[in-house]
Amino acid sequence: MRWASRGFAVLFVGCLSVNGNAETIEFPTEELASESVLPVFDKVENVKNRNVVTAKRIEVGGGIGFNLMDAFYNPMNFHGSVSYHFDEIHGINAAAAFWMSGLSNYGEQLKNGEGLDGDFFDPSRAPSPKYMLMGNYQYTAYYGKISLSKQMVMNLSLFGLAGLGTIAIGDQNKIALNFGIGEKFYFTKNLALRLDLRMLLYRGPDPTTRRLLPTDSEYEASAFGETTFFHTMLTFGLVYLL
Amino acid sequence: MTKKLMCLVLIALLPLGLHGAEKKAAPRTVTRDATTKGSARAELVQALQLVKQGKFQAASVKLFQLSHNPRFRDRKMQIKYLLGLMLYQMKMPQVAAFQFISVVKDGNNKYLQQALEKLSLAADSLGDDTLLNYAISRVKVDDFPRVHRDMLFFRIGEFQLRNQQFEAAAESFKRVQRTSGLFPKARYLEALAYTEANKAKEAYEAFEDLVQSREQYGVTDVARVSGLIGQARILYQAKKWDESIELYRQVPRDTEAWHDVFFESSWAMLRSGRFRSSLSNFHSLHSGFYEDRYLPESLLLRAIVYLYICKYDEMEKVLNLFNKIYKPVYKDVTTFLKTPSADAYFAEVIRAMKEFKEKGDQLDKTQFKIPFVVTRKIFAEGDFQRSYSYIKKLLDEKKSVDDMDGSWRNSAIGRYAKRVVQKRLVKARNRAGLQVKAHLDAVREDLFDLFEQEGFIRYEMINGKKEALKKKLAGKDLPEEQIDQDTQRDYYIQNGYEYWPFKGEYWLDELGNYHYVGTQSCN
Repeated sequence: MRWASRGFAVLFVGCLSVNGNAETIEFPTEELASESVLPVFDKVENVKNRNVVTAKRIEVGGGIGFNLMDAFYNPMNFHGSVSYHFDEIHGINAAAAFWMSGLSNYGEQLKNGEGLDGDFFDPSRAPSPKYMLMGNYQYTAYYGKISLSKQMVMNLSLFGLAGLGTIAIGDQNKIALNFGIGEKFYFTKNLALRLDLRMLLYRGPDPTTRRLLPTDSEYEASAFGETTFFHTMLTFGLVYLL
Repeated sequence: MTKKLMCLVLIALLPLGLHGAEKKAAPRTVTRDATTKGSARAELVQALQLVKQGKFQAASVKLFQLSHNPRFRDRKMQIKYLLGLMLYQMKMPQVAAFQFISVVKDGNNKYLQQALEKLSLAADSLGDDTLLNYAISRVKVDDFPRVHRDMLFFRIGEFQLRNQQFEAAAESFKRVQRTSGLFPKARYLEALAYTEANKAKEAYEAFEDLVQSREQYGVTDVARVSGLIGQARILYQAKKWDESIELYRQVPRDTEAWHDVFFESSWAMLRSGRFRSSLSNFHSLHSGFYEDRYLPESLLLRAIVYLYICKYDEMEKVLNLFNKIYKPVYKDVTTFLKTPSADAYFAEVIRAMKEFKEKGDQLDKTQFKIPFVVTRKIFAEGDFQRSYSYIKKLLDEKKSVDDMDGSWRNSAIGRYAKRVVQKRLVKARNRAGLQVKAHLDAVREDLFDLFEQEGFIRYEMINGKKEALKKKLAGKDLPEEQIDQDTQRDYYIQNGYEYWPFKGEYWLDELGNYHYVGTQSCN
């Protein structure tokens, strides 16, 4: 350390003579990034002092979603969710989604008999999904950042989730499975836009197993044969870390 | 292969031993004494047969008995030498080395050279300095088998280097052949010896040669990188700042040495007046990735750069940070240095590093009596690493002893081996503990010096602030709007490069790529 002390002494002497003005900033090309390899550490950790800390925190959120594969009913739903993050990777999530009533465009066309050669098919006479409650395990696979402009950098995380729950269809509640992936874009350290793409799997009454006329009264779920539904849900929402 | 060679050596030895025994027995008359001799001879023959058959365990038991039997006094050195060979084969180099030492100490026997050779090999495999010194001080190079001479020259060089015989050390290292696996280390140490002998030109050439000789092994080859660093350090010492920076820059980021190089290059940048570049480096060095590293000097250096560019507020933050981190370190080190037991020093370092290995960043670093930053520093020190490596070898040997079957363990040689290894372990741990203590002392002294430096730097900061205030009062201060307050940073971005503003978090892939974009505030 003696050489260091001598160095400090030399620097002090030099320091007294330093005087300058504001300057234009230029970086020598050789100092700009040229390597794509990473420094070696005993324990590899990609980020330190992370902006978005989720470990041991609760996240609440809500938003809007769409069932991309439902032919008959209004695909729009509203959802709310609560998550708890055990650490930066593992967490659990509870979500509830409530479907809007009514038919989709195709459902309306069928109800009006369009393309049915004088026949009618009114899906609103059959029971449709009303709400869904799900418990999920959530795995955050990636935390990173994205530069949207020269000054705007957003943190983001990519996660996968899978879980089990129940879906209410008419007067029945059925077990449902869901799994999917999602991404969060953080506007601040606590607030993020959350996008989810989920597959929803359940067995429920199949409206096409009987003729449904607009004049019919609404049937109970048990009046239909069952089938397995495999739906894709896309949801958008805001989440907030408490 | 080794076992086969071993048997060949033993077979070659065997007839000599038997022949010798026959020669001495021949002129005697048939008496009770002769009967005893005959039985003794039979015992020796039996032991040698076991050796010949490669039954190392049984042979070692027998040979150990014979080595303590007064009837075999005239054969003691032969027996000890063979016993050493057996134990060496049984992966007990420490216990084996003791047998070879007995032969060497006796001095006047025909097994001396062989024993010295084997002792050198055992000491080399153990990496124990004491044993090595002992063996090397007695070996005649010309009598040493050619196949192991590189090792011998290397160890002699190390011995001379430790004893500050720098030029002689360089000469010894130079004798290690290029084809030897020890060549890169030898070349590096040769250059180091030249450096110590103030022969910068020769040292630079040796480093350069090392770099060139390792080109084929890729850019991250440890020896190549060490050579580059050596060259850079010589240029730094010669005050050739820019050239040294260029060489430092050639050290790839994905090498262990890069972290140290990064700090050293900051010194060179500072000395060459590249304040921005050095501040850019400090941004990486003072990130969370280095929170476990002992880098007090870098904080003071950063403060000095801020002093150069009149950033007094930043300077004060850095000095405060220095005190916040290193004052408790100094206090804890001073307190721990009151510990009398040498073993406690070693045990504390090992406990911390073991837990760190298991838990990583989840480790509660406040639980240790020695500050963790200091523990890490000491753990990486060369002398401690050597001692630690020796201790690990002894532990392996202890395991070898414990893994032997019960009859061997309970035999005289088994009990002896256990006692020897145990004693050596205690001594080695104590020595390592004393090394830790010495390093802690050095850290304490180092920090004491640096606190003094911090005082001077703080004085300069206050002085600078006072001068700036005077100018402000006299109306000669800088205009309100400064270039570094301008948020338009387009001119920083050059074609082909991306600009990511720093938002408080540190990314592994960004380390070393940070660039300070402030400007100086001197008026």
